Amino acid sequence: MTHNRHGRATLRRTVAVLSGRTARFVGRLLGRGGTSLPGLVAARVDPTLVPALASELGPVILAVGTNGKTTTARLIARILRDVQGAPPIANRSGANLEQGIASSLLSMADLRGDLRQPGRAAVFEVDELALDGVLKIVRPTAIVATNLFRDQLDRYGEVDTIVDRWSAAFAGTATTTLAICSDDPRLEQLAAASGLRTIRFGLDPGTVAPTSVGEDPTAPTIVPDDPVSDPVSCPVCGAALQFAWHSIGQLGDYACPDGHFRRPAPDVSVSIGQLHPGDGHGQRARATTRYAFRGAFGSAEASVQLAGPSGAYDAAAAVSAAMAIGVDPCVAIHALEGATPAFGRLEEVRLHGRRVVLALAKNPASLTESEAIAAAQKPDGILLGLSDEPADGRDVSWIWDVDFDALSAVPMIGLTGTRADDLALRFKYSARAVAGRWPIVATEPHVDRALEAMLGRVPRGGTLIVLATYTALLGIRRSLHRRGVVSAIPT
Amino acid sequence: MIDDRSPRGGSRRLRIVHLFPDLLNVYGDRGNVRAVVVRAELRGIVVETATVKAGARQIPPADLFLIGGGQDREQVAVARELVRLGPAIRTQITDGASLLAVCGGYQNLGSSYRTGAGQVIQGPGILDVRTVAGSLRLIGPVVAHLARLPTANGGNGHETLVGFENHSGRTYLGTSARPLARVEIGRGNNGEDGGEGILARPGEGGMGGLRIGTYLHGPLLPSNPHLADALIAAALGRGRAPVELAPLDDADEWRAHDRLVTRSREHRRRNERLPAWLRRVLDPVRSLVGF
Repeated sequence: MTHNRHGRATLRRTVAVLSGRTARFVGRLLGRGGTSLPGLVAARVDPTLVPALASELGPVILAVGTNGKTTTARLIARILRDVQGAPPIANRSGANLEQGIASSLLSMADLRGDLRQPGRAAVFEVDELALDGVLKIVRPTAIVATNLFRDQLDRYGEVDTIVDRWSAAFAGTATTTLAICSDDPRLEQLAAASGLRTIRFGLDPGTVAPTSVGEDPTAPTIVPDDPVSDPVSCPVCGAALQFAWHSIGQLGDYACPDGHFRRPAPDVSVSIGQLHPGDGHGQRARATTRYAFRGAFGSAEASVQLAGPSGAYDAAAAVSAAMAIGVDPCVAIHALEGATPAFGRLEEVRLHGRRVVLALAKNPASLTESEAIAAAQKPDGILLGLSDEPADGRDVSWIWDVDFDALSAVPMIGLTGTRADDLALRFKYSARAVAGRWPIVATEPHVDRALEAMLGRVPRGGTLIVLATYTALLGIRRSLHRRGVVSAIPT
Repeated sequence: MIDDRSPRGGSRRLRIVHLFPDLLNVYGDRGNVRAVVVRAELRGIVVETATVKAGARQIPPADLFLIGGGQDREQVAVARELVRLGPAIRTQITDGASLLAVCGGYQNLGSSYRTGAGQVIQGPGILDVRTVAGSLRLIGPVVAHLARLPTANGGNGHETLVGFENHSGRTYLGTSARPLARVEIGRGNNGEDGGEGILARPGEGGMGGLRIGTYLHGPLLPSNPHLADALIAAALGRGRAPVELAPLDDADEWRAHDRLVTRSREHRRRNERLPAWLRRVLDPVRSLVGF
């Protein structure tokens, strides 16, 4: 009988690998989903297989946070590919629960239950609520936490629930390095309490000079009464934190009025340079931003196909995560040059001579920022999609915590998704509503018909921007595929 | 004294005070403020809004108080504020100001809240309810039926309420208190007695204003325009007869309302056919496939 690297009998492992592969095959036959099934099946046969595979990995980075984890994981993968000469093992976007990560490890296993290339690096994006489960199968070298916003309250109740669960999860990871956003008081509180080695990234205050809304919508603005901000209080005395500036939601430069707690200086500080709008052709098809990074390492710049403060945070998060596993930050920044967005993050397609830009907008923070980025592209129309399936979040009340003022110059707005009617009310009761000035041209829950209505109104050579929650966006992408759009990203 | 009363006996000025928006703002409750403001302004009523934030010294004069929901930690801070400010709010409501309290605010304005650790936090008792922390959160869409009309002439023919609940507290009404509605879909006050919220009409419980407490957000008022108008009418009436309001074109509101009723009922039918464990497995798959 043969033995694997761990010296254990392989028959059970082999059966586990084979059943996982069968499950993957069946899942693919069924056409959709199936990303978590292989992990589930293999674990049934041999629960030790996946942890054993994970122990053969090289450096492992987990990306967690409400917004930006997919983009951050994608950027880290790009850095590691440059540094190691091979792309790291990664999970598919959305397959970010325990089983999704198990499935991606399984796909890298040989029949003896060993990794085909032991020592390979891995980058996994992990759902906020799955972090403790994932830590039971994988021992990460680094955890990069992007931010903690209000998102899908119907799933986990409240943001403080996540803070508590992460805090417990961090307690069992003594050798892990954290990379966190210094501008998020909740993350700073978590990092400080964990006692783990921490690398911090944040926005350069120079970038966050007071700018009026509408002047440069991609620049972060100071909004004292930002409706997106969650109330955050000092972990020591409970007083409301005071902010010198805000970037997105509650991210910013905070301090306790009594001096117990304040934003530390980041190790990687990023500033947002020039935005070059895409011209729809070749290399420069998409909007690109120049980001400048500063720290003890000196300074370096990279142009990335991302926009706004969220793009800056994601890029800085990737650089910090790379630093956390010992990569030279200048090498990491160099590797970011030309990086492209992930699924639903400003993805661009062309249809009958029209440009369609798709962005996922799943919570107040991401919608607010997507609006600003969208408006900066001066589109002919915007289609907003709001659905309330479990993957979107059943509770849609968050749209009332978003200001739609950024869209005031957009010539036409369409509303779709299972909760399109609620969006219509949101506009009806907005500050501009009494005058009835919102150019709502379609309120149509059916995404296919809504897309049709909007495309019919956008002239050739024009731009339609779609901002939608997860399942609404999936529906719109399918509709685009049926209309003949070929995209590099599979549905 | 300046007379700002209309011939019908109500004020043409509506003073709204939003309580603790800095602490309780998690569930889009500012949508309730927007609904009241817009629906009043469309009728030519002059609206003044003020906010009371943590640390405020006093409560400005109000015809209508609105208070929303928040996280447990912020609710503790609100309870602390109410020790100082609760009596002033109570006095105004006794004198005829109306109140809508949602979720956390509903709990905070009751007589007491017992936390999971067994600690009892006293409230100002403006609403005759007490709340006990529960272990499981009650989360999901709600369809409920108004137990009785909020005011003598309110209702607009619709008797359903739609909203979304997300709370771990179990709220129990005082012996003489009556619920706002009875749940058809959802859990309501405590998941036991079928009641949702509390409705105290002007004059009941020795207080002059209309008081509504509820777990429903969504937010509540934009898609329940009958309730919004009942609050505006009662607030303008100051404890006397509610002011008659000119009708508005509410086609959009009722479309959203009715679709939510239909959707929630469909969703429940779909769920009732399946055992609970299978539902947990299927829900994510369903949402992707879209059926």
